[in-house]
Amino acid sequence: MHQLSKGLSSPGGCCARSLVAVTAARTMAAAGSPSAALRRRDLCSRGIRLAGKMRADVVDLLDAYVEQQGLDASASVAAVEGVPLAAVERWDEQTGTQRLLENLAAYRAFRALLAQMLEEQREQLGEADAGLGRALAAVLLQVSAFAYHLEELLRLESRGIPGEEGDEEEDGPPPPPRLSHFERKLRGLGVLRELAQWAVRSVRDLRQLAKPSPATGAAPGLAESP
Amino acid sequence: GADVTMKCGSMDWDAAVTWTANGTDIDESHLNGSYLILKNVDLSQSGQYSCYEGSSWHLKYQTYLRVGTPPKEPVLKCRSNNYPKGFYCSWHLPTPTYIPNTFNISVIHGTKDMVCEKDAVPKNRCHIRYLQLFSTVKYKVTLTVTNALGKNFTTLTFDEFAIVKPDPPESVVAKPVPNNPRRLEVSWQNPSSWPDPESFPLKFFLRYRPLILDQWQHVELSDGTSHTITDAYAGKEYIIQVAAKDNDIGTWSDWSVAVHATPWTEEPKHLTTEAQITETTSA
Repeated sequence: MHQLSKGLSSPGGCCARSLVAVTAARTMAAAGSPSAALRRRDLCSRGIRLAGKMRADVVDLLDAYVEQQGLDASASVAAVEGVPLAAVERWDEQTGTQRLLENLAAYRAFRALLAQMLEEQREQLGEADAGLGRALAAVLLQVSAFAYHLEELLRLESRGIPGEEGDEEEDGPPPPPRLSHFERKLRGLGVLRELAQWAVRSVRDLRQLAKPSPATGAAPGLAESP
Repeated sequence: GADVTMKCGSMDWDAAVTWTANGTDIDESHLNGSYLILKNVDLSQSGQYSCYEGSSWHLKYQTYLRVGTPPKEPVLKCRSNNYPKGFYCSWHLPTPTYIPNTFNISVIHGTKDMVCEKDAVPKNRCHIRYLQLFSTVKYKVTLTVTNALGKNFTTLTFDEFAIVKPDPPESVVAKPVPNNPRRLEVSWQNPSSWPDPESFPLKFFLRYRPLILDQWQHVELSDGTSHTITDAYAGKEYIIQVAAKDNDIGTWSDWSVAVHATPWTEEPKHLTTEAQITETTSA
């Protein structure tokens, strides 16, 4: 049913060209109709609040993580493989669809990364660090919720929701690389930092999406053929 | 603090000469033969020095002496008041050198060199357009100042969000509200330098106090560019200011220009017999 759409996490990737048919149950009004526009604005407003809360919690989590792991908050962390970078060129020129797809790919990746961090946390520290574990779990929950929220927005535009990477691989996703304890800590720092950036970017992206387009009243960039 | 020795052109050491500084004869005690010796020079000794041959008074040599100092570490600041377009850096020397200085600025983002375009006015400023947004990679700005006596430099490292600081709100207006002795209506506008307030909304901080008191009241406003103060002291003149901040990142602007306003007061009744008879009731 779902085809893989690769390259979602790469900036400027051919998102618009690799959309897939969706089996969503909801029958929506045409994307340009007034009710759809209202629903979009509502979803965007809620999404902005979700992202704002998520960012605040990620920032708190970052502080706790840095302290618990004995890291230097200002340490530079090289770009870590598999962590979606929030940095983007020509951000203002992105279409609505591009924004949604890039956001969705990022938060799906963070969902997996945070789940992995949580597992490593539990393995290493057991009960000793329950507070950090709880905070991680809370952020993971918000990331999942936000990913779902983005899927709702995509459905609203009658856009196909890309299948998650690794769906069709029979052997499942490749095992994570073997990292030393310290490397894992640094990786965690990199993950949380990029997530904090993404949370800010998502707020900005949703604000762009919520803007009515002057001609059709639909959000800019969304009324386009796949 | 340095010592300066000036030779009178090609004149011999034992030639009879007269030296002047800015047209004023220099005392012979500063001469060693025909050489002019200035010990431990200070800033007041800058000027035009001329050497004239003995009795003929022919000008044999002329030079301009500039007394100055090597540069101290410059003061550099970078700020984005037009996010997300870019940022600017501005600099100055903590103490003057009294001689010409050249400034060189370099900006690196990760491994990438960026060009900071010098502003025509003011001269000690340059600006950069953001090529990327939402980057976690820090920017490193190095400013080097050089003059004939030495050089110095300073470096700033920061990330994209940290330097965002809007200009203060503009056109702050405070007006009394008719028939409301405790209210003042305040309105303002987004700073004109902020390019896209719709996509990058600002939030505001209002502070107000009666002139007679020192303590400020504060109100934070997450949207809108107006607010009604409802707890003003009747009849007292107020001073009001507003500051702005991006809703999500960066720091608060400086306070706006202060405005003054006094809440509405009822017209005082005239103390004449006629007024007592023809009293009007106010709303």
